[in-house]
Amino acid sequence: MNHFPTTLLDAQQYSNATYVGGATDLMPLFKNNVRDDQELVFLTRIPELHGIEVEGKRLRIGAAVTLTELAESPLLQKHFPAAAQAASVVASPQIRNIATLGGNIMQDRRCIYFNQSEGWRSAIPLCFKTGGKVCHQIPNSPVCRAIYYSDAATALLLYECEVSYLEQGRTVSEPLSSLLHRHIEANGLSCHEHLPVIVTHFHLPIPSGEERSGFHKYAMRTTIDFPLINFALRCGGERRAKLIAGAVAPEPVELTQTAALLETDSSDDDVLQACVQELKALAKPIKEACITPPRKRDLYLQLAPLLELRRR
Amino acid sequence: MKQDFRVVDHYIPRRESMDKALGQISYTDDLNLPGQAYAVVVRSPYSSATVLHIDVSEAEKVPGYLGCLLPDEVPAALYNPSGNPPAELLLKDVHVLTKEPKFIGDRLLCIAAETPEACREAARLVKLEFEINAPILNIRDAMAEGARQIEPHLSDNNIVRHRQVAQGDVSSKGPIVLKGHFSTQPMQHVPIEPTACLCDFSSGRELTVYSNSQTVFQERRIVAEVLGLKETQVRFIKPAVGGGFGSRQQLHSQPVIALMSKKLKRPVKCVYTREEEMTAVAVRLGSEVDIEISAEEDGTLQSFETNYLANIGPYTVHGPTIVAGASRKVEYRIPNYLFNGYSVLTNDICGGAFRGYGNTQLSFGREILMERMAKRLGMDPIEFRLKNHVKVGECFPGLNTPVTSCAIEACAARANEIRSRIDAAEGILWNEDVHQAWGTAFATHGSGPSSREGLSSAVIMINDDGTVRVLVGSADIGQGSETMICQIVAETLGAALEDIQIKAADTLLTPYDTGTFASSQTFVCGNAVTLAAQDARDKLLAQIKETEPEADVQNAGTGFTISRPGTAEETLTFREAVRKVSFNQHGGVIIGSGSYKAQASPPPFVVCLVKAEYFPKFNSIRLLHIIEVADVGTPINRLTVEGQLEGGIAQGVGYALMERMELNHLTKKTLSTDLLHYRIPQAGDMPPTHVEIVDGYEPTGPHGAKSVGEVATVPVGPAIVNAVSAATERELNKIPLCDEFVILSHNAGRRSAT
Amino acid sequence: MSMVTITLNNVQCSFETGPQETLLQLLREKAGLTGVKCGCELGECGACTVIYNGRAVNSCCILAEQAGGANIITIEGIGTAEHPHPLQQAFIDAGAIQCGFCTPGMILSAKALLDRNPHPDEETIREALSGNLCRCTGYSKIVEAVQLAVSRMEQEAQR
Repeated sequence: MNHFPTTLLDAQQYSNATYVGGATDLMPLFKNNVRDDQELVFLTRIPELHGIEVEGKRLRIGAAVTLTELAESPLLQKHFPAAAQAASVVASPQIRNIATLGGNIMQDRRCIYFNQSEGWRSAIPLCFKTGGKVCHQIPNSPVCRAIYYSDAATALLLYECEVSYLEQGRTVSEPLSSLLHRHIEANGLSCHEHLPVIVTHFHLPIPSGEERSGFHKYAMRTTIDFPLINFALRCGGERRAKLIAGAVAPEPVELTQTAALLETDSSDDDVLQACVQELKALAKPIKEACITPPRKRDLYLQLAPLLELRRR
Repeated sequence: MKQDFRVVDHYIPRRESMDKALGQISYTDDLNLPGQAYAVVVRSPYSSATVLHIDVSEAEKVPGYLGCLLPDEVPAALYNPSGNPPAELLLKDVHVLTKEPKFIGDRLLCIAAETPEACREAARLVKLEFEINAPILNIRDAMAEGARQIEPHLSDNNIVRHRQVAQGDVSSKGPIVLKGHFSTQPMQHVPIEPTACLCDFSSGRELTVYSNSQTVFQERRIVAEVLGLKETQVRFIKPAVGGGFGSRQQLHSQPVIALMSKKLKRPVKCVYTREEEMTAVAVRLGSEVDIEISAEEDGTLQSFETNYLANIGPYTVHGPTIVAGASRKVEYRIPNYLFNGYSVLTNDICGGAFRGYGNTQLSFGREILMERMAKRLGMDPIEFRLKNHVKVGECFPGLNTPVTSCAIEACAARANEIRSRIDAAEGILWNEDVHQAWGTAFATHGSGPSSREGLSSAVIMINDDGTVRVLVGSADIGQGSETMICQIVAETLGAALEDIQIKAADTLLTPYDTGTFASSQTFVCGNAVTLAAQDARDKLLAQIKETEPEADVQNAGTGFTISRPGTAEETLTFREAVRKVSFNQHGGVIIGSGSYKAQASPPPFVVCLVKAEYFPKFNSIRLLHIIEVADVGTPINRLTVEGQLEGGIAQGVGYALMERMELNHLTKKTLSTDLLHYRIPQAGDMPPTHVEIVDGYEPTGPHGAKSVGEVATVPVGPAIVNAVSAATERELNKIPLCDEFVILSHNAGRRSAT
Repeated sequence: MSMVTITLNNVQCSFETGPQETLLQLLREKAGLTGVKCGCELGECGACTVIYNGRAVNSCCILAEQAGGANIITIEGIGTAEHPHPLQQAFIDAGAIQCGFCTPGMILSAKALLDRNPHPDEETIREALSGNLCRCTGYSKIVEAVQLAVSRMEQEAQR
């Protein structure tokens, strides 16, 4: 059954619910029979989950805001350019017009052994994500090693994003990184184990001063492709400089050592080398389509375009 | 010689494009028949296995389930699904359904239900037990001592055919010898329309098949053979087709869907999923090619020797024909030539026809070596190629049909001009951060099968109002052949283009055509149509004479003149003439016919230049410009020819940069099952392309035309590799280049990140 | 089964639908709008693109029920043979149509772009069309067609 509640109260009345925004991430998973969620609760008709508003010193973004709306938002472009840029390069124009920020953040992790049809997968044992006990990527891994490819998450994490959500009738507000960590852990298990949360809002503290920030995604093609790597970087403001990388591990990674160099006299080349070294330590690469391990490591240098931000 | 034409050699929007722009044209999946059921084919998840047990009991419980077909219920005879006319190289090894799948696209059984959804649900509930074999997934393993024999009835060493072509003595070499080993990958066609068929065999006597087909007459012949029918009992109709490129030059699931229709006594439709389109449709053959060339110090080529290994997958299909085709496409004057080609069986995705048909793979290494040889000799790469290029009257190595037209020098000159214009505007950067460079490749192909087995025919019926009906067997699969044929008819007949109506590729209504492949349509079908139009024109002239026994009747431009003794000369337009004979006491109906058996396969020529840039710090590459200048003889429709060149370039870009049916070593099969795992270029990825057509005239072609379809793709891969090689100062021997470099989409990073 | 009401090519229509039916299936099979093409059913090719509340979307990735209340424009709703949309005419004239299977989706993506941005530069056009795969044309003539439509629409507006 599909449900289209118009209030948050109504949204909470379903048991075994899967809360969805545009459902664009789920549709191919249904086609591939890796998920069989029975009760889809669409959150897009709940008015309070829409809107991008200044709320005191924070920007509040409704979870049902589409990625296109985010990319086009003057408020986001002004205060959180990395988030607007990230939203503008997710998937394809068609998908961004339906996909929501909440859905993007709560997207399934991906792997060449998981994102396949049932027939294709029938030749291999079930993996953690399909209810089995192995990770085909790293057979001795005790957990699923599928990569989390969200572009938006990389950008939101840059800005100390807080997320509000409902879980079993309780409203929780916490750093996005905490929810992400739980989501990603649950998402490494069989699909029925997904977190039963309704993400409602994202809150971004508006930076003061001259902070500069930006987002860069590397994909082989203009659109549709998930990132092969993405970066979000900020510097030059009152807050410490910060650097997040995504699509290199089951979770986005923060590159603190590299970030520490951003506002020093270090050359861009030194910063890039630090980034490579730090990613070598933090990345958890797996086999991906169309890219070899050495080329994936080359991509650690794709931070370069963002280093322009070091200069005013 | 080049002439001024009235209808051909113009930019003509294609005739069906309004229907396509409005979404009103019907592709196979848009057709429905009363009482229609749906079917899916259940395929092997393993690259090599034996089916031990099939249990459909759970599938039967799905609401709407109608039935299944198992291997034992269908004819056991082997066939070759290739859409080529019968030939010795088309060995038979394919089953309608098999219990011994040899690649993951192999058909095991077929399920039918009331809806597509019920079909898929039932199919996933079929329980299959397998004994799994270790598959052979590459040429080396297939040729290894003691390797398992994939088709024991055809070969005891997995080499299904060896082809040798020799001329002169390759031990007689020039002083400068270069050699290389080159690898190319299996590539999928990816037409945007999925493969589909709608079969009505409900009577059990007469079978009608609507399907995306490039070769309706061959498909009719094979299906009739497999099902034990006469060809009069089988009708193939080709609706609008959403792209072919070779992918529909072999039968797909029509035989089993026809049998399902017979079993259910209902029409049955089957549309492939994208995964089936990727894994069950024949691919471009992967190849491992050794080439050695030698030249004199002055740049004269002396020898060319190649050992050409093609990974044809587990079935013959086109394999040996593709290898044979490759041997006939060397456009340089080489006294000593030796081609050894081997069709090697593997359990990889089944190979088949794909734009370029073997030529693509050999030209890849050849044009890379030619570039290296030019560099070694200190010659300009274009001048070096031109110096050795065959001229009119000369033959390609190993062939005895002289080239009858060749404007390669004009192509090269024009390509150079375009390059100079680009460099004048943009410069060529070469500094610490970026290296930009150009690469060159030449290419040729045939116009129709190089075996000269092309055959086509046409019937032209003139209506009493002067409009014209054309019947041809050839299939327009999106490349625009119907418009091109109408143009030829209008030009030859003297009629107006808008008065020509065409019916094509319906085996009941149209005369025989070998099929849409080998870049045949313009040359082979075009010649048949020209003959038919001339025949109709001659008959019209004769009829006018019958109505005017006293007068002198002559052709005059598109019309006729009638000079009667003692009166002023009368002029008749084509329409007036038709009307005159249609309703005259001595009149008649004008039906022209023509049949053309290819006497030649005149080669078109292309010069391709690519500008690429390399960022050493990032190991990344980007394409900046691609130029293709072509000699296609007379371009019948300039709009279509340009479109073919541009589309061919895009396929070449994908091939060179990132397209590959990627093998996964854990599952021992491809993981390239959808359009994210397999990446074809998008609008934003393509660099600017510059295509031009030089003046050319092929004396044996219709109004001077030869082909364009395949030749457009052939030079792109090596030209890209040559450009990247020059920019990176590295020798590169294999594609896709995404293995070696970070690929930058053309638009990527052009907008500021801040 | 449930009923879903949508505004389809400016006409309000109601259809019976099931929970798993996609908008693509509904449009093709129940509304008979076969100009909406099915190329992959995975949101990867763009052949099924329709305009949904003013924006281009993949109809294969939207459930029919989800589309309830939406305003949907398909290729059938933007022009006729007598009065084609300027984009349709430009695609024909520029030779942007080969096999034609990507054409409806391509035209609708272009229309969604021009409705918001009537004067896009080439890069913007290419980005807006990048979710629509074409295997025949290499995209050059498609981009030219959009530019031709833009210039014709500008001329029309100046009259």
